[in-house]
Amino acid sequence: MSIVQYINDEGYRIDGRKNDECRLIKISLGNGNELIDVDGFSFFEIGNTKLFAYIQGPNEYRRPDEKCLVKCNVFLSPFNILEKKRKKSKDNVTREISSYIRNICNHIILLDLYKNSEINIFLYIIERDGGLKAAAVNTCILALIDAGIAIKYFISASSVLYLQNNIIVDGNQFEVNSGSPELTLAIDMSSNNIVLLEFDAEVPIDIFQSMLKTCAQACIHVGNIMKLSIKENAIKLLSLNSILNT
Amino acid sequence: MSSLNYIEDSINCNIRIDGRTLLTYRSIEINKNILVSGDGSSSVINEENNVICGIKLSLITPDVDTYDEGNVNLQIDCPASVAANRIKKDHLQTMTTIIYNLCIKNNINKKILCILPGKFAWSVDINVMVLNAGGGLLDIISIAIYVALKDTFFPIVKPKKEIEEENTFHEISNKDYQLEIVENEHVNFPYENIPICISIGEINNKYIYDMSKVEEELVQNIFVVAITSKGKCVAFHKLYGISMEISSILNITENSSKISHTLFDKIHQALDKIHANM
Repeated sequence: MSIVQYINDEGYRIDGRKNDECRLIKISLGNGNELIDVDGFSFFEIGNTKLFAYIQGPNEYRRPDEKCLVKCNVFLSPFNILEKKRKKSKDNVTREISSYIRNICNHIILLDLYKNSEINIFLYIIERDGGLKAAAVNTCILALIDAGIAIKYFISASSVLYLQNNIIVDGNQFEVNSGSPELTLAIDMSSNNIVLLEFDAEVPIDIFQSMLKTCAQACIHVGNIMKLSIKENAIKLLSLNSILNT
Repeated sequence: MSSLNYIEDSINCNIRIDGRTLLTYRSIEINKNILVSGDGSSSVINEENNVICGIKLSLITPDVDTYDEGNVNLQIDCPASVAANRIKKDHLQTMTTIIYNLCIKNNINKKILCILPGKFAWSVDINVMVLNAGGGLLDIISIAIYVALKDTFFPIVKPKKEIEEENTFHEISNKDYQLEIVENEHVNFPYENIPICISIGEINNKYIYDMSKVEEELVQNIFVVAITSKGKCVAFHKLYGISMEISSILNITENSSKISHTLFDKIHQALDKIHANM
Protein backbone atom coordinates (compact mmCIF):
# COMPACT_ATOMS: atom_id res chain seq x y z
CA MET A 1 0.00 0.00 0.00
CA SER A 2 1.46 3.31 -1.04
CA ILE A 3 1.26 6.46 1.02
CA VAL A 4 -1.39 8.83 -0.29
CA GLN A 5 0.12 12.09 -1.40
CA TYR A 6 -2.39 14.71 -0.33
CA ILE A 7 -0.47 17.67 -1.75
CA ASN A 8 1.43 17.23 -4.97
CA ASP A 9 4.71 18.85 -5.90
CA GLU A 10 3.05 21.88 -7.43
CA GLY A 11 1.21 22.67 -4.21
CA TYR A 12 -2.27 21.52 -5.19
CA ARG A 13 -4.49 19.28 -3.13
CA ILE A 14 -6.48 16.29 -4.34
CA ASP A 15 -9.52 18.42 -5.14
CA GLY A 16 -7.46 21.09 -6.86
CA ARG A 17 -7.17 23.67 -4.11
CA LYS A 18 -4.16 25.46 -2.73
CA ASN A 19 -3.28 25.18 0.94
CA ASP A 20 -5.14 28.31 1.97
CA GLU A 21 -8.29 28.02 -0.14
CA CYS A 22 -11.72 27.22 1.21
CA ARG A 23 -14.32 25.23 -0.63
CA LEU A 24 -17.26 26.83 -2.41
CA ILE A 25 -19.75 28.28 0.08
CA LYS A 26 -23.45 28.65 -0.67
CA ILE A 27 -25.70 30.37 1.86
CA SER A 28 -29.47 30.68 1.76
CA LEU A 29 -31.35 32.68 4.35
CA GLY A 30 -34.99 33.14 5.04
CA ASN A 31 -37.92 30.79 5.22
CA GLY A 32 -39.03 30.82 1.61
CA ASN A 33 -42.11 28.69 2.34
CA GLU A 34 -39.97 25.66 3.02
CA LEU A 35 -40.82 25.29 6.69
CA ILE A 36 -43.88 26.30 8.65
CA ASP A 37 -43.84 28.16 11.98
CA VAL A 38 -40.17 28.98 11.78
CA ASP A 39 -38.73 32.29 12.94
CA GLY A 40 -35.28 32.00 11.42
CA PHE A 41 -33.88 29.71 8.77
CA SER A 42 -30.48 29.31 7.17
CA PHE A 43 -28.99 26.81 4.76
CA PHE A 44 -25.21 26.52 4.67
CA GLU A 45 -23.26 24.52 2.11
CA ILE A 46 -19.48 24.39 2.02
CA GLY A 47 -18.25 21.92 -0.54
CA ASN A 48 -20.24 18.75 0.00
CA THR A 49 -21.06 19.53 3.63
CA LYS A 50 -24.69 20.60 3.74
CA LEU A 51 -26.50 21.79 6.84
CA PHE A 52 -29.53 23.84 7.64
CA ALA A 53 -30.74 25.29 10.89
CA TYR A 54 -33.85 27.02 12.04
CA ILE A 55 -34.90 28.89 15.15
CA GLN A 56 -38.16 28.70 17.01
CA GLY A 57 -38.59 31.39 19.54
CA PRO A 58 -38.34 33.33 21.73
CA ASN A 59 -41.31 31.44 23.16
CA GLU A 60 -42.83 31.78 26.58
CA TYR A 61 -41.25 29.52 29.15
CA ARG A 62 -42.25 29.54 32.80
CA ARG A 63 -39.26 29.36 35.08
CA PRO A 64 -38.84 30.85 38.54
CA ASP A 65 -35.34 32.23 37.98
CA GLU A 66 -36.32 34.50 35.06
CA LYS A 67 -33.63 33.38 32.69
CA CYS A 68 -33.64 32.72 28.99
CA LEU A 69 -33.20 29.06 28.10
CA VAL A 70 -31.35 28.15 24.92
CA LYS A 71 -31.82 24.64 23.56
CA CYS A 72 -30.06 23.07 20.62
CA ASN A 73 -31.09 19.85 18.89
CA VAL A 74 -28.82 18.34 16.27
CA PHE A 75 -30.13 15.72 13.85
CA LEU A 76 -27.84 13.58 11.80
CA SER A 77 -29.10 12.26 8.49
CA PRO A 78 -27.80 8.95 7.16
CA PHE A 79 -26.33 10.54 4.03
CA ASN A 80 -22.61 10.69 4.72
CA ILE A 81 -19.57 10.81 2.51
CA LEU A 82 -17.16 7.90 2.82
CA GLU A 83 -19.03 6.30 5.68
CA LYS A 84 -21.38 3.46 6.22
CA LYS A 85 -24.94 3.97 7.25
CA ARG A 86 -25.33 4.90 10.88
CA LYS A 87 -27.82 3.13 13.06
CA LYS A 88 -28.30 5.83 15.66
CA SER A 89 -29.43 9.35 15.04
CA LYS A 90 -27.65 10.54 18.18
CA ASP A 91 -23.98 9.99 18.82
CA ASN A 92 -21.01 11.78 20.30
CA VAL A 93 -20.67 14.13 17.35
CA THR A 94 -24.19 15.49 17.70
CA ARG A 95 -23.92 15.87 21.47
CA GLU A 96 -20.62 17.66 21.12
CA ILE A 97 -21.91 20.04 18.47
CA SER A 98 -25.05 20.64 20.51
CA SER A 99 -23.05 21.60 23.59
CA TYR A 100 -20.74 23.83 21.55
CA ILE A 101 -23.63 25.73 20.03
CA ARG A 102 -25.46 26.02 23.33
CA ASN A 103 -22.39 27.46 25.02
CA ILE A 104 -21.72 29.88 22.18
CA CYS A 105 -25.32 31.06 22.08
CA ASN A 106 -25.46 31.54 25.84
CA HIS A 107 -22.55 33.93 25.49
CA ILE A 108 -23.44 35.90 22.38
CA ILE A 109 -27.22 36.27 22.79
CA LEU A 110 -28.33 39.21 24.89
CA LEU A 111 -30.17 37.01 27.36
CA ASP A 112 -31.40 39.93 29.49
CA LEU A 113 -33.75 40.94 26.71
CA TYR A 114 -35.49 37.56 26.68
CA LYS A 115 -36.37 36.71 30.26
CA ASN A 116 -38.84 33.88 30.89
CA SER A 117 -38.26 32.75 27.31
CA GLU A 118 -37.04 29.74 25.43
CA ILE A 119 -35.05 29.75 22.19
CA ASN A 120 -34.97 26.46 20.30
CA ILE A 121 -32.30 25.83 17.68
CA PHE A 122 -32.74 22.87 15.35
CA LEU A 123 -29.74 21.88 13.26
CA TYR A 124 -30.01 19.30 10.49
CA ILE A 125 -26.81 17.81 9.14
CA ILE A 126 -27.86 16.69 5.69
CA GLU A 127 -24.49 15.65 4.31
CA ARG A 128 -21.04 15.53 5.86
CA ASP A 129 -17.74 15.97 4.09
CA GLY A 130 -15.40 17.37 6.71
CA GLY A 131 -15.40 20.67 8.53
CA LEU A 132 -18.62 19.80 10.27
CA LYS A 133 -18.27 21.67 13.55
CA ALA A 134 -17.26 24.93 11.92
CA ALA A 135 -20.11 24.68 9.44
CA ALA A 136 -22.55 23.96 12.28
CA VAL A 137 -21.50 27.08 14.16
CA ASN A 138 -21.80 29.21 11.02
CA THR A 139 -25.23 27.83 10.22
CA CYS A 140 -26.62 28.54 13.66
CA ILE A 141 -25.26 32.08 13.72
CA LEU A 142 -26.91 32.81 10.39
CA ALA A 143 -30.20 31.37 11.63
CA LEU A 144 -30.08 33.52 14.76
CA ILE A 145 -29.49 36.63 12.67
CA ASP A 146 -32.34 35.72 10.34
CA ALA A 147 -34.63 35.24 13.34
CA GLY A 148 -33.85 38.76 14.52
CA ILE A 149 -32.49 37.66 17.89
CA ALA A 150 -30.20 40.24 19.47
CA ILE A 151 -26.60 39.07 19.54
CA LYS A 152 -23.53 40.88 20.78
CA TYR A 153 -21.12 40.30 17.93
CA PHE A 154 -20.72 38.38 14.71
CA ILE A 155 -18.70 35.18 14.84
CA SER A 156 -17.46 32.83 12.16
CA ALA A 157 -15.77 29.46 12.34
CA SER A 158 -13.32 27.48 10.26
CA SER A 159 -10.89 24.60 10.59
CA VAL A 160 -7.35 23.80 9.51
CA LEU A 161 -5.35 20.60 9.27
CA TYR A 162 -1.65 20.00 9.73
CA LEU A 163 -1.07 17.41 7.05
CA GLN A 164 2.29 16.20 5.73
CA ASN A 165 4.17 19.27 6.98
CA ASN A 166 1.60 21.61 5.43
CA ILE A 167 -1.10 23.69 7.06
CA ILE A 168 -4.18 23.33 4.90
CA VAL A 169 -7.47 25.14 5.29
CA ASP A 170 -10.92 23.55 5.34
CA GLY A 171 -10.06 19.90 4.88
CA ASN A 172 -12.59 17.56 3.37
CA GLN A 173 -13.44 14.14 4.74
CA PHE A 174 -10.72 12.40 2.78
CA GLU A 175 -8.11 14.66 4.33
CA VAL A 176 -9.69 14.47 7.77
CA ASN A 177 -9.60 10.67 7.61
CA SER A 178 -5.83 10.76 7.44
CA GLY A 179 -5.80 11.31 11.19
CA SER A 180 -3.75 14.47 11.12
CA PRO A 181 -4.15 17.22 13.73
CA GLU A 182 -7.24 19.34 13.18
CA LEU A 183 -7.90 22.74 14.71
CA THR A 184 -11.42 24.16 14.80
CA LEU A 185 -11.68 27.84 15.61
CA ALA A 186 -14.50 30.36 15.96
CA ILE A 187 -13.62 34.01 16.37
CA ASP A 188 -15.41 37.28 16.96
CA MET A 189 -15.10 39.22 13.73
CA SER A 190 -14.94 42.67 15.30
CA SER A 191 -12.39 42.17 18.07
CA ASN A 192 -10.67 38.96 16.90
CA ASN A 193 -11.34 37.25 20.21
CA ILE A 194 -11.49 33.47 20.22
CA VAL A 195 -14.96 32.11 20.93
CA LEU A 196 -14.34 28.40 20.32
CA LEU A 197 -11.08 26.51 20.02
CA GLU A 198 -10.89 22.75 19.64
CA PHE A 199 -7.65 20.88 19.13
CA ASP A 200 -6.87 17.29 20.01
CA ALA A 201 -3.35 16.35 18.91
CA GLU A 202 0.33 16.99 19.62
CA VAL A 203 2.19 19.56 17.60
CA PRO A 204 5.09 21.87 18.45
CA ILE A 205 4.08 25.23 19.80
CA ASP A 206 5.32 27.23 16.82
CA ILE A 207 3.32 25.07 14.41
CA PHE A 208 0.30 25.52 16.65
CA GLN A 209 0.71 29.29 16.46
CA SER A 210 0.96 29.09 12.68
CA MET A 211 -2.20 26.99 12.59
CA LEU A 212 -3.97 29.55 14.75
CA LYS A 213 -3.02 32.42 12.45
CA THR A 214 -4.00 30.52 9.33
CA CYS A 215 -7.31 29.47 10.84
CA ALA A 216 -8.08 33.02 11.96
CA GLN A 217 -7.52 34.25 8.41
CA ALA A 218 -9.81 31.51 7.12
CA CYS A 219 -12.46 32.53 9.67
CA ILE A 220 -12.28 36.12 8.45
CA HIS A 221 -12.65 34.93 4.88
CA VAL A 222 -15.69 32.80 5.70
CA GLY A 223 -17.15 35.58 7.83
CA ASN A 224 -16.92 38.06 4.98
CA ILE A 225 -18.84 35.66 2.74
CA MET A 226 -21.47 35.27 5.45
CA LYS A 227 -21.76 39.03 5.92
CA LEU A 228 -22.22 39.47 2.18
CA SER A 229 -25.12 37.02 2.09
CA ILE A 230 -26.72 38.67 5.12
CA LYS A 231 -26.51 42.05 3.39
CA GLU A 232 -28.04 40.63 0.22
CA ASN A 233 -30.89 39.14 2.22
CA ALA A 234 -31.46 42.43 4.04
CA ILE A 235 -31.50 44.36 0.77
CA LYS A 236 -34.04 41.91 -0.60
CA LEU A 237 -36.27 42.29 2.44
CA LEU A 238 -36.02 46.08 2.35
CA SER A 239 -36.94 46.12 -1.33
CA LEU A 240 -39.96 43.96 -0.55
CA ASN A 241 -40.95 46.43 2.16
CA SER A 242 -40.60 49.36 -0.21
CA ILE A 243 -42.74 47.55 -2.78
CA LEU A 244 -45.42 46.99 -0.16
CA ASN A 245 -45.34 50.59 0.98
CA THR A 246 -45.95 52.04 -2.47
CA MET B 1 -66.06 24.49 15.99
CA SER B 2 -67.72 26.77 13.51
CA SER B 3 -64.60 26.73 11.35
CA LEU B 4 -64.80 22.95 11.17
CA ASN B 5 -68.42 23.20 10.08
CA TYR B 6 -67.32 25.74 7.51
CA ILE B 7 -64.78 23.30 6.08
CA GLU B 8 -67.28 20.45 6.05
CA ASP B 9 -69.91 22.59 4.34
CA SER B 10 -67.43 23.70 1.72
CA ILE B 11 -66.43 20.11 1.02
CA ASN B 12 -70.11 19.20 0.64
CA CYS B 13 -70.26 21.95 -2.00
CA ASN B 14 -67.27 20.37 -3.84
CA ILE B 15 -64.83 23.12 -3.00
CA ARG B 16 -62.08 23.38 -0.40
CA ILE B 17 -60.76 26.21 1.70
CA ASP B 18 -57.81 26.82 -0.62
CA GLY B 19 -59.97 26.86 -3.72
CA ARG B 20 -59.26 23.39 -5.05
CA THR B 21 -61.77 20.82 -6.19
CA LEU B 22 -61.93 17.50 -4.43
CA LEU B 23 -59.68 15.72 -6.94
CA THR B 24 -56.97 18.35 -7.44
CA TYR B 25 -53.42 17.94 -6.23
CA ARG B 26 -51.24 20.81 -5.15
CA SER B 27 -48.11 21.68 -7.08
CA ILE B 28 -45.12 19.47 -6.30
CA GLU B 29 -41.50 20.48 -6.72
CA ILE B 30 -39.23 17.54 -7.56
CA ASN B 31 -35.44 17.55 -7.54
CA LYS B 32 -33.02 14.71 -7.98
CA ASN B 33 -29.29 14.17 -7.58
CA ILE B 34 -29.26 16.46 -4.57
CA LEU B 35 -26.88 14.34 -2.47
CA VAL B 36 -23.35 13.53 -3.49
CA SER B 37 -22.92 10.60 -1.13
CA GLY B 38 -26.02 8.73 -2.22
CA ASP B 39 -26.21 6.44 -5.21
CA GLY B 40 -29.60 7.95 -5.92
CA SER B 41 -31.36 10.82 -4.24
CA SER B 42 -34.37 13.02 -4.58
CA SER B 43 -36.15 15.86 -2.87
CA VAL B 44 -39.90 16.45 -3.08
CA ILE B 45 -41.50 19.62 -1.72
CA ASN B 46 -45.02 20.91 -1.70
CA GLU B 47 -46.75 23.49 0.45
CA GLU B 48 -46.73 21.51 3.67
CA ASN B 49 -44.24 18.68 3.16
CA ASN B 50 -40.52 18.53 2.56
CA VAL B 51 -38.92 15.12 2.09
CA ILE B 52 -35.38 14.06 1.18
CA CYS B 53 -34.74 10.50 0.04
CA GLY B 54 -31.33 8.90 -0.41
CA ILE B 55 -30.38 5.47 -1.73
CA LYS B 56 -27.20 3.70 -0.70
CA LEU B 57 -25.95 0.50 -2.31
CA SER B 58 -23.66 -1.95 -0.55
CA LEU B 59 -22.56 -5.52 -1.06
CA ILE B 60 -23.76 -8.20 1.33
CA THR B 61 -23.64 -11.94 1.64
CA PRO B 62 -27.16 -13.27 1.13
CA ASP B 63 -28.97 -15.32 3.73
CA VAL B 64 -29.21 -19.06 3.38
CA ASP B 65 -32.93 -19.11 2.67
CA THR B 66 -32.74 -16.27 0.14
CA TYR B 67 -29.39 -17.14 -1.39
CA ASP B 68 -30.11 -15.64 -4.81
CA GLU B 69 -31.87 -12.44 -3.73
CA GLY B 70 -30.73 -9.02 -2.70
CA ASN B 71 -32.01 -6.95 0.15
CA VAL B 72 -34.05 -3.75 0.29
CA ASN B 73 -34.34 -1.77 3.52
CA LEU B 74 -36.45 1.27 4.22
CA GLN B 75 -35.93 3.72 7.03
CA ILE B 76 -37.93 6.91 7.54
CA ASP B 77 -36.37 9.50 9.83
CA CYS B 78 -38.60 12.13 11.28
CA PRO B 79 -36.63 14.52 13.50
CA ALA B 80 -38.16 15.78 16.69
CA SER B 81 -39.15 19.20 15.45
CA VAL B 82 -41.57 17.70 12.98
CA ALA B 83 -42.72 15.18 15.56
CA ALA B 84 -43.54 18.02 17.93
CA ASN B 85 -46.37 18.94 15.59
CA ARG B 86 -48.16 15.69 15.12
CA ILE B 87 -46.17 12.58 14.33
CA LYS B 88 -45.15 10.33 17.18
CA LYS B 89 -42.74 7.43 17.00
CA ASP B 90 -45.54 4.88 16.77
CA HIS B 91 -47.08 6.70 13.86
CA LEU B 92 -43.67 6.94 12.22
CA GLN B 93 -43.17 3.19 12.58
CA THR B 94 -46.66 2.61 11.19
CA MET B 95 -45.88 4.88 8.26
CA THR B 96 -42.65 3.02 7.55
CA THR B 97 -44.51 -0.28 7.59
CA ILE B 98 -47.23 1.07 5.32
CA ILE B 99 -44.80 2.48 2.78
CA TYR B 100 -42.76 -0.72 2.82
CA ASN B 101 -45.78 -2.96 2.39
CA LEU B 102 -47.39 -0.84 -0.29
CA CYS B 103 -44.43 0.26 -2.37
CA ILE B 104 -41.46 -2.00 -1.86
CA LYS B 105 -42.30 -5.41 -0.50
CA ASN B 106 -43.66 -7.23 -3.52
CA ASN B 107 -42.79 -4.82 -6.31
CA ILE B 108 -39.03 -5.18 -6.65
CA ASN B 109 -37.55 -8.21 -8.35
CA LYS B 110 -34.89 -8.98 -5.78
CA LYS B 111 -33.28 -11.67 -7.92
CA ILE B 112 -31.94 -8.95 -10.19
CA LEU B 113 -29.98 -7.66 -7.21
CA CYS B 114 -27.99 -10.89 -6.98
CA ILE B 115 -24.44 -10.92 -8.34
CA LEU B 116 -23.34 -14.44 -7.41
CA PRO B 117 -25.75 -16.81 -5.67
CA GLY B 118 -24.76 -17.44 -2.09
CA LYS B 119 -21.78 -15.08 -2.26
CA PHE B 120 -22.57 -11.52 -3.31
CA ALA B 121 -25.74 -9.50 -3.58
CA TRP B 122 -26.71 -5.87 -3.49
CA SER B 123 -28.25 -4.35 -0.40
CA VAL B 124 -30.31 -1.26 -1.14
CA ASP B 125 -30.79 1.09 1.81
CA ILE B 126 -33.56 3.63 1.28
CA ASN B 127 -33.38 6.47 3.77
CA VAL B 128 -36.15 9.02 3.86
CA MET B 129 -35.73 12.16 5.93
CA VAL B 130 -38.90 14.14 6.57
CA LEU B 131 -37.99 17.77 7.11
CA ASN B 132 -41.51 19.11 7.27
CA ALA B 133 -44.74 17.19 7.66
CA GLY B 134 -48.26 18.24 6.89
CA GLY B 135 -51.17 16.52 5.23
CA GLY B 136 -50.69 13.92 2.55
CA LEU B 137 -47.24 12.90 3.72
CA LEU B 138 -47.56 9.35 2.40
CA ASP B 139 -47.97 10.61 -1.16
CA ILE B 140 -44.89 12.80 -0.95
CA ILE B 141 -42.77 10.05 0.59
CA SER B 142 -43.77 7.54 -2.08
CA ILE B 143 -43.03 10.03 -4.86
CA ALA B 144 -39.62 10.74 -3.33
CA ILE B 145 -38.84 7.02 -3.16
CA TYR B 146 -39.97 6.51 -6.75
CA VAL B 147 -37.84 9.37 -8.08
CA ALA B 148 -34.82 8.28 -6.05
CA LEU B 149 -35.05 4.68 -7.24
CA LYS B 150 -35.46 5.93 -10.79
CA ASP B 151 -32.22 7.84 -10.30
CA THR B 152 -30.29 4.84 -8.91
CA PHE B 153 -27.71 3.03 -11.04
CA PHE B 154 -25.90 -0.19 -10.24
CA PRO B 155 -22.27 -0.53 -11.26
CA ILE B 156 -21.69 -3.74 -13.17
CA VAL B 157 -19.76 -6.10 -10.94
CA LYS B 158 -18.26 -9.32 -12.26
CA PRO B 159 -16.89 -11.88 -9.83
CA LYS B 160 -13.60 -13.35 -10.93
CA LYS B 161 -12.45 -16.61 -9.45
CA GLU B 162 -8.98 -16.36 -8.04
CA ILE B 163 -7.33 -19.76 -7.87
CA GLU B 164 -4.77 -20.06 -5.15
CA GLU B 165 -1.70 -22.16 -5.52
CA GLU B 166 -2.14 -25.77 -4.67
CA ASN B 167 -2.13 -26.51 -1.00
CA THR B 168 -1.17 -29.73 0.71
CA PHE B 169 -4.30 -29.70 2.84
CA HIS B 170 -7.02 -30.52 0.36
CA GLU B 171 -9.87 -30.18 2.83
CA ILE B 172 -9.23 -26.52 3.46
CA SER B 173 -10.89 -24.41 0.83
CA ASN B 174 -8.70 -21.47 -0.14
CA LYS B 175 -10.85 -20.36 -3.01
CA ASP B 176 -11.66 -16.69 -2.99
CA TYR B 177 -13.45 -14.33 -5.32
CA GLN B 178 -12.30 -10.94 -6.43
CA LEU B 179 -14.85 -8.44 -7.62
CA GLU B 180 -14.13 -6.46 -10.73
CA ILE B 181 -16.09 -3.32 -11.53
CA VAL B 182 -16.61 -2.62 -15.21
CA GLU B 183 -15.84 1.02 -15.87
CA ASN B 184 -18.39 3.44 -17.29
CA GLU B 185 -21.20 0.93 -17.38
CA HIS B 186 -24.18 0.65 -15.08
CA VAL B 187 -27.62 -0.85 -14.93
CA ASN B 188 -30.82 0.91 -13.98
CA PHE B 189 -32.63 -0.05 -10.84
CA PRO B 190 -35.79 -2.02 -11.72
CA TYR B 191 -38.17 0.82 -10.95
CA GLU B 192 -40.97 0.02 -13.42
CA ASN B 193 -43.18 -1.67 -10.85
CA ILE B 194 -42.61 0.81 -8.06
CA PRO B 195 -45.96 2.43 -7.29
CA ILE B 196 -46.80 5.77 -5.79
CA CYS B 197 -49.33 6.16 -3.01
CA ILE B 198 -52.48 8.20 -3.29
CA SER B 199 -54.21 8.93 -0.01
CA ILE B 200 -57.94 9.62 0.05
CA GLY B 201 -59.97 11.05 2.86
CA GLU B 202 -63.68 10.64 3.38
CA ILE B 203 -65.88 13.35 4.88
CA ASN B 204 -69.64 12.76 4.77
CA ASN B 205 -69.40 10.34 1.82
CA LYS B 206 -67.27 12.83 -0.09
CA TYR B 207 -63.78 11.69 -1.12
CA ILE B 208 -61.02 14.26 -1.17
CA TYR B 209 -57.49 13.83 -2.51
CA ASP B 210 -54.23 15.41 -1.37
CA MET B 211 -55.55 16.45 2.01
CA SER B 212 -54.08 19.39 3.80
CA LYS B 213 -53.26 19.17 7.47
CA VAL B 214 -56.57 20.64 8.61
CA GLU B 215 -58.54 18.33 6.36
CA GLU B 216 -56.58 15.31 7.52
CA GLU B 217 -57.64 16.00 11.06
CA LEU B 218 -61.27 16.26 10.00
CA VAL B 219 -61.70 13.18 7.84
CA GLN B 220 -63.53 10.10 9.05
CA ASN B 221 -61.67 7.56 6.92
CA ILE B 222 -58.30 7.51 5.18
CA PHE B 223 -57.52 5.10 2.36
CA VAL B 224 -54.24 4.63 0.53
CA VAL B 225 -54.08 3.25 -3.00
CA ALA B 226 -50.75 2.27 -4.56
CA ILE B 227 -50.71 2.46 -8.36
CA THR B 228 -47.81 1.85 -10.74
CA SER B 229 -46.95 3.88 -13.79
CA LYS B 230 -48.71 1.35 -15.99
CA GLY B 231 -51.95 1.96 -14.13
CA LYS B 232 -52.05 -1.23 -12.10
CA CYS B 233 -53.34 -1.07 -8.55
CA VAL B 234 -50.92 -3.07 -6.42
CA ALA B 235 -52.22 -2.27 -2.94
CA PHE B 236 -55.27 -0.88 -1.23
CA HIS B 237 -55.02 0.02 2.42
CA LYS B 238 -57.54 1.47 4.84
CA LEU B 239 -55.60 3.24 7.56
CA TYR B 240 -58.05 4.13 10.26
CA GLY B 241 -61.49 5.52 10.87
CA ILE B 242 -65.07 4.37 10.83
CA SER B 243 -66.56 1.74 8.59
CA MET B 244 -66.92 2.26 4.87
CA GLU B 245 -69.28 1.15 2.13
CA ILE B 246 -68.07 -1.58 -0.18
CA SER B 247 -69.56 0.12 -3.22
CA SER B 248 -67.21 3.08 -2.80
CA ILE B 249 -64.10 0.99 -3.50
CA LEU B 250 -64.69 0.98 -7.24
CA ASN B 251 -65.21 4.73 -7.26
CA ILE B 252 -62.04 5.29 -5.27
CA THR B 253 -59.90 3.07 -7.47
CA GLU B 254 -61.19 4.63 -10.70
CA ASN B 255 -60.51 8.16 -9.52
CA SER B 256 -57.14 7.12 -8.15
CA SER B 257 -56.18 5.58 -11.47
CA LYS B 258 -56.97 8.83 -13.27
CA ILE B 259 -55.12 10.90 -10.72
CA SER B 260 -52.09 8.62 -10.81
CA HIS B 261 -51.78 9.22 -14.55
CA THR B 262 -51.80 12.94 -13.84
CA LEU B 263 -49.21 12.55 -11.11
CA PHE B 264 -46.90 10.40 -13.21
CA ASP B 265 -47.15 12.93 -16.03
CA LYS B 266 -46.17 15.65 -13.58
CA ILE B 267 -43.23 13.60 -12.32
CA HIS B 268 -41.97 12.79 -15.81
CA GLN B 269 -42.34 16.42 -16.90
CA ALA B 270 -40.31 17.54 -13.90
CA LEU B 271 -37.62 14.94 -14.61
CA ASP B 272 -37.51 15.89 -18.30
CA LYS B 273 -37.08 19.50 -17.28
CA ILE B 274 -34.18 18.50 -15.03
CA HIS B 275 -32.62 16.55 -17.88
CA ALA B 276 -33.05 19.52 -20.20
CA ASN B 277 -31.34 21.81 -17.71
CA MET B 278 -28.33 19.50 -17.34
